[in-house]
Amino acid sequence: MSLSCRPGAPPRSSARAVGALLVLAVCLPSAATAASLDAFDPLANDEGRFRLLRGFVALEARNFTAHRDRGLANEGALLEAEVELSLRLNRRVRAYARPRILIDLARTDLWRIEPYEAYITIGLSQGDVRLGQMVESWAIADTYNPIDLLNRRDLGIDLLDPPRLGEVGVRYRRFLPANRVFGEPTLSLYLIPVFRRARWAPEGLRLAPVVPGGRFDEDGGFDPRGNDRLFVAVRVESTWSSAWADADVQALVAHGPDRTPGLTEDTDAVLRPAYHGLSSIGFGARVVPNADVAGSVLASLTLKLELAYRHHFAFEDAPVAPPEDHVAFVVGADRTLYDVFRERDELALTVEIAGELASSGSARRARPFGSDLIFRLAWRRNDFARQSVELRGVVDLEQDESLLEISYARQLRKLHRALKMVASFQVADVPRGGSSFLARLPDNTHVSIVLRRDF
Amino acid sequence: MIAADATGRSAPSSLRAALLGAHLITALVLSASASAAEPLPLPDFERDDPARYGRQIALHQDRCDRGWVDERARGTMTLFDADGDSVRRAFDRFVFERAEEGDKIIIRFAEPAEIKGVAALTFERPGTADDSWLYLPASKRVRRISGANNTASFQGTEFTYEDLGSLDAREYDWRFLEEAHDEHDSGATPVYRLEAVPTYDDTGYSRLVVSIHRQAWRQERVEYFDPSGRLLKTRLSRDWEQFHGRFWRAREIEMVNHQTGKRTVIELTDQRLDLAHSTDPRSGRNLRPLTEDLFTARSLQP
Repeated sequence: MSLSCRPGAPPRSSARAVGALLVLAVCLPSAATAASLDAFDPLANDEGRFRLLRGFVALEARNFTAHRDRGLANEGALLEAEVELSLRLNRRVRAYARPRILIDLARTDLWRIEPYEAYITIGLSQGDVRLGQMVESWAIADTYNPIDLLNRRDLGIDLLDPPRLGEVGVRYRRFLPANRVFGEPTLSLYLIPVFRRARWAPEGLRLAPVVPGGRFDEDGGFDPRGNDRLFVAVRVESTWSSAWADADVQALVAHGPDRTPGLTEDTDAVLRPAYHGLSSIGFGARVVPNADVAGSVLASLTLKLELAYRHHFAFEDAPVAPPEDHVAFVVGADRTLYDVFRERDELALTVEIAGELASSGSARRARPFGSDLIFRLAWRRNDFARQSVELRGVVDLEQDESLLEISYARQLRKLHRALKMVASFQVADVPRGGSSFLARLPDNTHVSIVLRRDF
Repeated sequence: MIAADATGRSAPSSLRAALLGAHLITALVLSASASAAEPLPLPDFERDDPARYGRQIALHQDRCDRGWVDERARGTMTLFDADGDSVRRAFDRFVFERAEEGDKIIIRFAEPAEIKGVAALTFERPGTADDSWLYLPASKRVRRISGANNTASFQGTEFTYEDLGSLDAREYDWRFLEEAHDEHDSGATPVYRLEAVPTYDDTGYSRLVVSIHRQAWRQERVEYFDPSGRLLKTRLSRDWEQFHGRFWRAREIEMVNHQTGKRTVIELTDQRLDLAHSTDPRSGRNLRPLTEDLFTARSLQP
């Protein structure tokens, strides 16, 4: 693989190179291409019209059962709505938007009204260009992905599934020639000139980081300035076929502000987010072994690997030292079993281990614990009500810390065919005052009921 | 928590759902199809040997449905329980024909709302596990999926993974049973009745009885027998439509489970085959054909 962007390269030169490529790509005379399913549906007749792709409205009631009477919000009522809209301007150009609204009806200072995504995609003869605010998952594993660098997270909503926030910039994709081994190789270049912060819960809410006797100041943190705000990345992905396995593989090089900020505490016990720089080179693969060679047991698994070397660096005037350089990894496997407890049910199992090869604990900023075992057991009844039970969590076996959630979901068909209920219980068993991120939070063990209407 | 769509959080199950949908609907529709006009010359049937005769009929029926190039359709899948309660799923399907290597298939679900936008891509690979990917709108991810359990049900439908490829003539020992007439509401259909015994290990059936239309060379009915030899299910294909004077497609496919009383019905609309030679009813112009380079994982995302 030949990639021109090396870790640690000054962002200005990288930006120039990527920008030149983008301009070249846009200006090249090209025929229309159909890179998405919608674009090639020969019966679609939606040119010039907005289409509602999907959406939902949900209301969640939360009740925090521990560490009450500390001046924190012990109840929450989150109202959330999201829609996906698409507009095909012509065969080459398509617009897409995904606005989102989230309000805590119990605490009006927690609200989010913004587009998750809003972009246009221009088809080229052997690729496309996307401009605007976008969300993209580079992840292979379920969570704590060292190669998923593009989007920051909304850390004020959910600890296990923090939503991705859109990043404003340009993506250029070039579809490379395929062969029998590499199925659909794609080269992608990213230029994200607009810096945005991760979001946090407002002070006084349960998910806002706190220090004893202090407060959290989300807006007063340290941000990169000037060219330090720029994020650039080069990514190559492809399918890969061999006699013993088939896989989706990817490699990437990225440079810019790290996705996850650190936290700095001043003498007045005010906690603030502080960003640092990251140059990273990574690799990921999702592998399905071939039963003829690997055997039926191994072939029933989907194997996952993410590996990244991360070089952190401090921006000018940064108030806090960056984490040490390290190699981060996630390895794991998925398997689905059938007819386990009842006829026609399914049990999906996921086990992953996430960690770092580093000499100190400063590297594990993006994860809750020291050496994380991530698991998920998802049972689906496969009945008309689509009942399911899911147990998932993150466990540090050495430190005896854990974050667990069990949930039960079903359609409420008698009320409405698209109405769903999810009841869940989340417990964070973390010693207060410890070194993990969760130790900065109160005990956020809570029960939750969600009513959700999809459309 | 509510920011994480359940479709994304329960990915493996959803993956199965959409993926099997892709397999299922395509395999069923294609297996319930055949050509009639410009018939292929019949092979020299060895009628004295029931095993050879049965296999020749099965292979000829398979050959009759070659050459349709590409296909798209819209459809619904309705599940009925023994009490008559039902749920419905809607989908769009795109297929690119590859005779020897196996077809490429994309399916996108439109209903119910919970799985709206879920899209699956499958590369069929005869004789081995298919290549499959699934796009989950909630997580914005395209994921490669491992092979399926052959005897598992698809989310409570009466179809199993095995039903999808169960009528690949090369995977069965065939035996000619009789020439007969299948009786139904619109009359009697002349059929060859064949017995098919699976030759692969991972099967939920002891044998199948397949009825093939004697003129149209299409599968009208398949009966599935459980390992103890009892009749388990019957698949009926109805409301046939012919395309380009050659290819037959059933607009309705029903699978009835005789042991539970449950059934699943697939109904297809807006079917088009060989798109370059099909007309858009709105514009009157020929449709753009599907090309193989459109059947990629990246095509699944909006």
